[in-house]
Amino acid sequence: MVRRKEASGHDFTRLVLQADRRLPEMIPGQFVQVRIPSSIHGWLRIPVSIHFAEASQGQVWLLVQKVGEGSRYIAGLEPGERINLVLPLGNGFSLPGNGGGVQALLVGGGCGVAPLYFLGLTLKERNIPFRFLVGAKNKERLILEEELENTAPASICTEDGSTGFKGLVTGHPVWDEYDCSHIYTCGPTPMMRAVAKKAAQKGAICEASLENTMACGLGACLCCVTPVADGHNACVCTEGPVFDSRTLGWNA
Amino acid sequence: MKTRTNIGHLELKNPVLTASGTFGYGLEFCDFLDLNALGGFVVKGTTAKPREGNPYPRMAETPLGMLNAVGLQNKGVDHLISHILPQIRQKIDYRQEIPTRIIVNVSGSTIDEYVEVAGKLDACREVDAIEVNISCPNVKQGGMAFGTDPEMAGEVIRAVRQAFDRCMIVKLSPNVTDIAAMAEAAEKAGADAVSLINTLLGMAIDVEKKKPVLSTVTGGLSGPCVKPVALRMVWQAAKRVKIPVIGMGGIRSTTDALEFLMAGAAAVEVGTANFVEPDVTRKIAEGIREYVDTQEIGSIKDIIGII
Repeated sequence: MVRRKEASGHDFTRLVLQADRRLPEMIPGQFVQVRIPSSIHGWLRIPVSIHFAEASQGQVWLLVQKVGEGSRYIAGLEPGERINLVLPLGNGFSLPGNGGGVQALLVGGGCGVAPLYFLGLTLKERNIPFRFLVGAKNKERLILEEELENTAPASICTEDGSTGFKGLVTGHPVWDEYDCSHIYTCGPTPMMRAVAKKAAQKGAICEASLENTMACGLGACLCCVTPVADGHNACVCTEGPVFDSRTLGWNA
Repeated sequence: MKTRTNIGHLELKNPVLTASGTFGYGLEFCDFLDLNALGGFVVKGTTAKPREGNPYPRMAETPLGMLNAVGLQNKGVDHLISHILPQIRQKIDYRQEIPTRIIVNVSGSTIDEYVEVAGKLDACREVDAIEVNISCPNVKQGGMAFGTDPEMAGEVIRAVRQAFDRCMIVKLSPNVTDIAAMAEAAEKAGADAVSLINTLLGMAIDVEKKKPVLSTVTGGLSGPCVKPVALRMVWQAAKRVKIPVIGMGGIRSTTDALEFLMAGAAAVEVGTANFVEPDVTRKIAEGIREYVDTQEIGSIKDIIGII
């Protein structure tokens, strides 16, 4: 059931969903498959990353950008309305133990910032030092600025310079100023590939969350595959959506 | 008892099966339903050697349906036998009078490949039936080429018949002018049953990128949008042949399944709907049981082919 709904930035909507029971544990980077009403515009479920979850409270947050009919439907739900989800799906980000000099940089672009917020809160709980680095086309398309800044230091980039650093995330000075062992990234594929290269130069581990087109989300249809290093076509929905950038062959 | 049906000598506890490629190995769906609720399920297309399939993108959603071009990605028959079948077996309740049937979809590029896979499966007693896929539109060699020419189809089926003793179902392609002639060719060549329809050849274009959506340009269309075509073909095939017909194509409700049974299908396979509603097959099996009870018919067999 939709408990709360908030508009967030340009075209983004955050939904706080409340189940009437305890939910299975959810890890940052995992996703849900949302059932949409069958219509000429769509029938298959829509994968949406988990923006925040509190399993014991039966709560899941989703943040969607209105791009197609399906996401418009999700964004159009009002408090009190019911929604059908399959969860949790996928592997999620690997969470390092604290200590051992772990320092993380969470690099997000566009709607990809949504799961990184959940990851940030989880890292904070584990006392792992980290920073956010997020990019958007312009100020209007930047989301969660305040929430991120309340969680950890956040570096902001916009392509037009309407707020923060003017340019792409990979050009931000934080790369030279901040020493990190782990990089987590979610956003458009070209951005993530560029981030993976930066990570390789710094000798940091990089995990990227992919969003290939999916049908089942259960590893049955084999539609969402991505080629991985050993030549195998891996299912993004079950073997991912989070992959080590070396596995994807993105470091070179 | 009232929902029992037959695929040749193979008795099913109810007429609901899953379609190859839409239900993985069944194991992926165990969080959503008890496999024992099904008449049987069809394990995805298996080839002699592992195959990686076609490049991404392999899927395009279309109005009330989807195109796929997976291209038979699978780990090969040896892996299926050594790793997968033992896991599936553990999920089946063999104490039941008619346990849920395991059917393996067999694919290949050459006649020898079909024969090799069928022969290996013949030695696995837990495999109740094979479904010979002569209709995959997404592989360059074999597949649909065998399924659109009655003579070539006959050749494959006769060869596989020699290699597999139990129930042999032949899956037909809808991409032909005369589906009844194809069903007849399968019957003459020794098939115990035919299943139809496989996907309809289609395509989609991304007008922003000015490119086809699928890496292979064309792919197979499935989902509710194909149902009227599928129903018509099942009806035509069932009128022509004496062997049982298994109907599929866009089934997502009990009503859809009943339509196929009335058109002449002895059983149905549910495909793409599994992606949207992972427990849809259990619901359809229950729905059929309720229908038999409320209509006060003696057996589901009484409505098969009444049209």
